[in-house]
Amino acid sequence: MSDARTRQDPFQDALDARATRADAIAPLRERAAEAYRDAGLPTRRVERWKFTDLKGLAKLGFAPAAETPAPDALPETVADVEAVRLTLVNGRVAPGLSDLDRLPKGVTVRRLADVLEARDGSSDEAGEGASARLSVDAGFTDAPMAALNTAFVEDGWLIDIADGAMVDAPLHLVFLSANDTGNDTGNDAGNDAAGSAVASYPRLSLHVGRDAHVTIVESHVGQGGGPTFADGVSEIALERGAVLRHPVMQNEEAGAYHVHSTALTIAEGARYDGFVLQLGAALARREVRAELTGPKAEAHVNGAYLGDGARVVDNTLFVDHAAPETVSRETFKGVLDGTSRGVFQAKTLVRPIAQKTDGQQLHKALLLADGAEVDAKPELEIYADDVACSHGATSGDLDRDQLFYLRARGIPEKRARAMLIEAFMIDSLNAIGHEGAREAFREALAARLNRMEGIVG
Amino acid sequence: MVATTETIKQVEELGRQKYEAGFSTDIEMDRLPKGVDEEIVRMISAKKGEPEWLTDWRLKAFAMWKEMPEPDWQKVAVPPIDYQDIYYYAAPKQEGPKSLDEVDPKILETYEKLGIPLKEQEVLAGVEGAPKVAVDAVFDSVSVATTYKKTLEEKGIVFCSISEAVRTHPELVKKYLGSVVPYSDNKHACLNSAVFTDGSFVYIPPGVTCPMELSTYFRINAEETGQFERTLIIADKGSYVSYLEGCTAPQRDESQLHAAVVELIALDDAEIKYSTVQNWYPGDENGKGGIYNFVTKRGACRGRNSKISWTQVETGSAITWKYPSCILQGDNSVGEFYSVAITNNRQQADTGTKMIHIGKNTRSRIISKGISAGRADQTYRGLVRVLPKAQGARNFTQCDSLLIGATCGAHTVPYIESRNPTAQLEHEATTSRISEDQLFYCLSRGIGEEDAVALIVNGFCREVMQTLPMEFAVEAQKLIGISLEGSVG
Repeated sequence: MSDARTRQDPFQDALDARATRADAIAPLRERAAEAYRDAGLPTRRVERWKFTDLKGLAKLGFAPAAETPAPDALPETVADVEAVRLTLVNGRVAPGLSDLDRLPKGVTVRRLADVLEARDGSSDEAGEGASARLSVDAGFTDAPMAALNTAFVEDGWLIDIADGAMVDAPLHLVFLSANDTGNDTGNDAGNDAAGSAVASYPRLSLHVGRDAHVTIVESHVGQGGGPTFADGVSEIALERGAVLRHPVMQNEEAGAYHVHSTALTIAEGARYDGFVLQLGAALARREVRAELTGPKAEAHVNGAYLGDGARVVDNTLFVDHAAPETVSRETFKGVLDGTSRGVFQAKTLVRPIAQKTDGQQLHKALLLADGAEVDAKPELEIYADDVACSHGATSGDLDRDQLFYLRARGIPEKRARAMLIEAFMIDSLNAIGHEGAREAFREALAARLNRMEGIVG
Repeated sequence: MVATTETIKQVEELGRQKYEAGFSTDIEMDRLPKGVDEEIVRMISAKKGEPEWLTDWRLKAFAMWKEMPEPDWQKVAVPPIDYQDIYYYAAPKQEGPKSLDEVDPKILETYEKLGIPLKEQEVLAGVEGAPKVAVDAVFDSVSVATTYKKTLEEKGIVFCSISEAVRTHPELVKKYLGSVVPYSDNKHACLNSAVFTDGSFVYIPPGVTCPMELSTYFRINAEETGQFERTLIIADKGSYVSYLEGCTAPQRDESQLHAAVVELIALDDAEIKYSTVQNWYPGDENGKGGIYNFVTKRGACRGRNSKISWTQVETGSAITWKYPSCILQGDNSVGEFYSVAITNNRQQADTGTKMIHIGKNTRSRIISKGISAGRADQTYRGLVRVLPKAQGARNFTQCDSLLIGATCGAHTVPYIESRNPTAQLEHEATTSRISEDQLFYCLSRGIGEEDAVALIVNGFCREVMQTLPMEFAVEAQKLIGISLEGSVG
């Protein structure tokens, strides 16, 4: 508590200064504000944040929230997928960049702002719905960053997939962090806090109905070059037998801070097939919490990340096996160059009832430079005996024999290294179940690898 | 372990003559009141006739201990400890049973299975009137000890109690005490630094290979080693020593809190092998009683090409909190950790290791086997850290857990931190239960269920058991079977 107070914390100040909102979730906001005040901005003394330091974020000067006009076009970094697009700019819906008029059958999309404001003191069915679907911290314990989102959230999406709907066309959710108060040309402005930062609190609430199948692609990108902070929360529920394919790409600008908490509840026989590709941001932490509530539910949370410069890339996962015969798979691969740091924390909890659980974790990291660092904490907490659980973690440089093989065939060292790195990473993308997204992610990764200095000549 | 009836009788008589009288008065005189404060720390130091620097060191530790919070990150539930309700010096023996007839028959049964001679059983069970310098006498080792002492002295090896070493080798003690585990390390180590009463000291001179396994079991100066034991082992350049700690037989002990500190220092080309079998009283089936075993063990591979190897078989104690670690400072140094931990009934164990790679080409290997049964909870907690200068460091970690029954827990919490691209780290862990196929195979061949489980578990642990010195390995195997009794069927 005292820690939280003594440390510089722009969000405590912002909470004090904020105007009270009398919208549908006012009481929820109060509780969330309280939760954040109690905990404060996490420091490395908090076990869950042991490896990721938000000190830089605390030093950013935030501009008072102003509505940014939506840009005319999206940046190139957005994943190139054929899909129905829904865009949030700094956490607010951008109708001009969203295909709200051509939603596939079985898909209902509402703006969170509409739902929240419809209430405005009067009692309204939609408003009730919103407060029931949002929670203070999305079920995370000790989660000040999720609570901060709840305290400040203005807009976002409420998406419902009808029972039994087989949605062919994927939805593509674009989360754009825009700030052109910085210099328009520079993009290595990681520590350049000349322009004031823009904070946004995007939110997604997604219900996938019984036996429904859907693919939802996400792109988290930036524009403008100024420092940004996106603190997002996604609450996703999969009903019985539902299948959600959920490839997520984080490709924010170099001056961006990106924190996103995704909470999943997965009912009997449902399958979550998620992939997280992290390519950008100065500091990015994506946290996934999956609760397997029904028998035979499955959570696949795979991913890949790439760090260079002084980036910090954090993937923190928690899978709660709360029913028998549930399955979880977590495979992550990372490449770290420069003085970047990769963090992988995964915890698998198997409750006494969850007999016949099958849970596997794997993390592989390639360290390319002397200053790079990887921190892994693959954790198992098991209370049932008839289970097959394992985890593995490796860290090392490129295989010298493989490098020698390529060089012996006349391939220059830099090219050979690039080939091996690409092979290491691309392999993991095969876990993406949707072909269009897989291709788009592959391209984004290749483009990013090509930009990495020192690897490719 | 084999003692003839004759020996036993002899020893029995010897014991009576020697210890019946005078024993209690001795204790009376040396006893300090319950509780701990600065005065007690000073008195302990004074009684040991310690030099000023050591007294000061103890006092500094004590001052810090008062401020230090209890560690709370471990996954065990520790009931609050009343530090003022403990004797810190020469705790008088609680009223023990008058004869073996009064001892819990279950414990006797265990002794029998381990093949422990009757007289030793009395000692272990704390029967009144049983010889105090237990193991020495029972093992007929009065002569043995003397022989050993002579051999060791010839080689220049120092093996004595730490209090004696403070007097005889103050320069070594001053140089190394607290250099691996500073008193500020953690609350339990800090308390130990303030109030430690005894423990072992070993110094192996350069180039000497210690000709025998050193052991607290045979310790020449086997005084009452209290609950705050302090061990310091220094292997000078090019030397080798293997040290055994503990005992396979279950020991009754009235004191609940054991906070020991073990420091190992290996200089250039030296090797230390430290093996522990820990079987303190684990409490009864309902978790009543039992020892809290809070141990800080750490070895520093200071020299080039040095090696420290920890092997532990942990079956006892109600709560185990223990992380034997290696600091790999010297280039090409090697750290090893082999562990078998068995928890049954309501035992809790949070144990593991730390491997800190500092020097170039340092290598470490961690093999941990955890077996959890009954309502027990067990955690492997490990850290592998590679610092930027540790070029070519290498680690291999394997931690496997076996669950027996649906009411126990097994957890794995590894931290893997690498800051050097040339370091290669591998970590793997599995959790499973005894396969029904294996069990069926044994049962169909007429092996009883409990024996079959013991057999399978021994197979599961064999990588670790192989690293134990011979005399320990045989007993430890039996111990595994006994520890798991009542966990099946």
